[in-house]
Amino acid sequence: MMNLLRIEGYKARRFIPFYICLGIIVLMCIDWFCQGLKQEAIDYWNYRTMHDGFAEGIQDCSFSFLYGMIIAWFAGIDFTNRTLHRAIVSGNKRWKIVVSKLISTSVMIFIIHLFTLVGETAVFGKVFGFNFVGFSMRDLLWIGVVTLQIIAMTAFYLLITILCGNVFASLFACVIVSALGGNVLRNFLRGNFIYEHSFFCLAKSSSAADLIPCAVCAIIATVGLVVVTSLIFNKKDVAN
Amino acid sequence: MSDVIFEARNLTKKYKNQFALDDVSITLKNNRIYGFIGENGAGKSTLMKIMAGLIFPTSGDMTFMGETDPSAIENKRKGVGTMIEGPYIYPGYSVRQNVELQRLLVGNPDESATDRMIELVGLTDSRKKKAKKLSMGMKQRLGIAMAMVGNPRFLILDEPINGLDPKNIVTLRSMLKKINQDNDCTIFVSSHILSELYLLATDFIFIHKGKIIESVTHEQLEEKCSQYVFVRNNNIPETVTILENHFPDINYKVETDDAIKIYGKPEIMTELSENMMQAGITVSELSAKEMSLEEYFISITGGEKK
Repeated sequence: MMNLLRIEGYKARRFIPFYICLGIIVLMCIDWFCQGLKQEAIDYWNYRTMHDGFAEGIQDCSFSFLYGMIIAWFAGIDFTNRTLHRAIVSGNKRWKIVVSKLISTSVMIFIIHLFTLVGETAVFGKVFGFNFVGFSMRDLLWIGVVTLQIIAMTAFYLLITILCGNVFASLFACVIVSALGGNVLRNFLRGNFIYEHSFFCLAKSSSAADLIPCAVCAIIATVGLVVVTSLIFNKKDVAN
Repeated sequence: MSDVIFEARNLTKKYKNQFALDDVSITLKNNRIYGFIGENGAGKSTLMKIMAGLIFPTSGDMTFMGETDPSAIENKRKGVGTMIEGPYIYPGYSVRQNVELQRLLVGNPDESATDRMIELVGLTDSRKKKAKKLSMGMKQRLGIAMAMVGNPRFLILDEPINGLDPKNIVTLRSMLKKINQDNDCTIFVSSHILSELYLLATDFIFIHKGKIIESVTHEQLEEKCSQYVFVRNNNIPETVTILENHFPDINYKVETDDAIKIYGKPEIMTELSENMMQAGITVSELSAKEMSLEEYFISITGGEKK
């Protein structure tokens, strides 16, 4: 398992689309930082502190399609390049391959999300002043729960990738599903309890009423999805 | 330690309604080099992929390095080097990175193994080159280095000499023989270049349409390859009719308009000669000749007849 993780880490560090995604987010944040916040938005959402930027950033699902793309690309390319075969023929258990890919892709998605979070917080800091008013230890808990949700989301896209079995089909499927689930459905399912506490919709506040159902849902989803993915992968012929 | 490294019992692999492997039973012993011979689509790669754990048999059992439990077999695969249908390479990584990743994957703690294997396959000068920029032959050599970097006890190589130039074919042959002798490594190798396989293998397994049709040692094969009957005459269609009527079990191949090869039973020469004379065929040549491995393969897979 440690060898698999080392290799996945090695590949992740050299995965160019990951850096392109980070670059896109950095550029957008710089642009936003230079322009600042529109007064209408400040008045409408009643933004007052840098913490409001943190709250917006941590639940931001705008880049959901990018997350789907990264996961499908990173995991799917191993099918298409037939490099997944290396791990299998080298005697690694298939569930370990699934878990190692889940860990490596989750770390990548978490880093991308962290960039969004820091970027948005910085934009709000520029407007309202860089201070820690409103921040508390509960925010760490909030980050923890969102991390669990990111892992669950990754497990879901990993399942799609394993089902597709090649990078092109998995990219297509994951980008569509992530754009629908993370971006489009938000407009139709606003206020829906199940949707808003699923991994498609990151935790909206640090209140226990949000964090507990989100964490429970994420843990159940992760375990369930990893088990299902491993079972499917265990029966799947890797023949191409 | 058991003398048997791999045993398959009644292995079957079915894709929809088609059998890729049909009731295959083979036994591979330690420290031998097996030449695995079959036409395209005969089931060679399917069996190799089952051995490597990439695909699962529809039915049948396997014993792998003494283990029969699928989970235990998976663990034993750490001692197996594989190259099936070309090398599994990361195209954007260098030669060295590819071999190094494989070393990590199989858990070989010997860091010098990476450079040693690259040197062994003659890629030292290209070690910094990206794998996608290598020629086909160089990719094959990279695949072989990756297969061997874990000091395997069992090597599964599918068409390893594809794309290699004559010099590298000779190098690979001597390298595989050395690994076989020095490391007590069993090698299971397929190739369409049968003459090359003949120089390498100690045992031969023939597969045809998903079935193992013959399994022989090198010595037995030499004996079997000894003879075929060559006939040259003015009426090959009539000769074919005679063969079909009088020798229904014989395999043959029509070579040209006036020549035919009859495999396996030189003792039919006298009777065949009489039959041709009775049919008014003018025979210009009737002789027993030696077969190459290619000709033997054609003879047992049916030539034109089956």
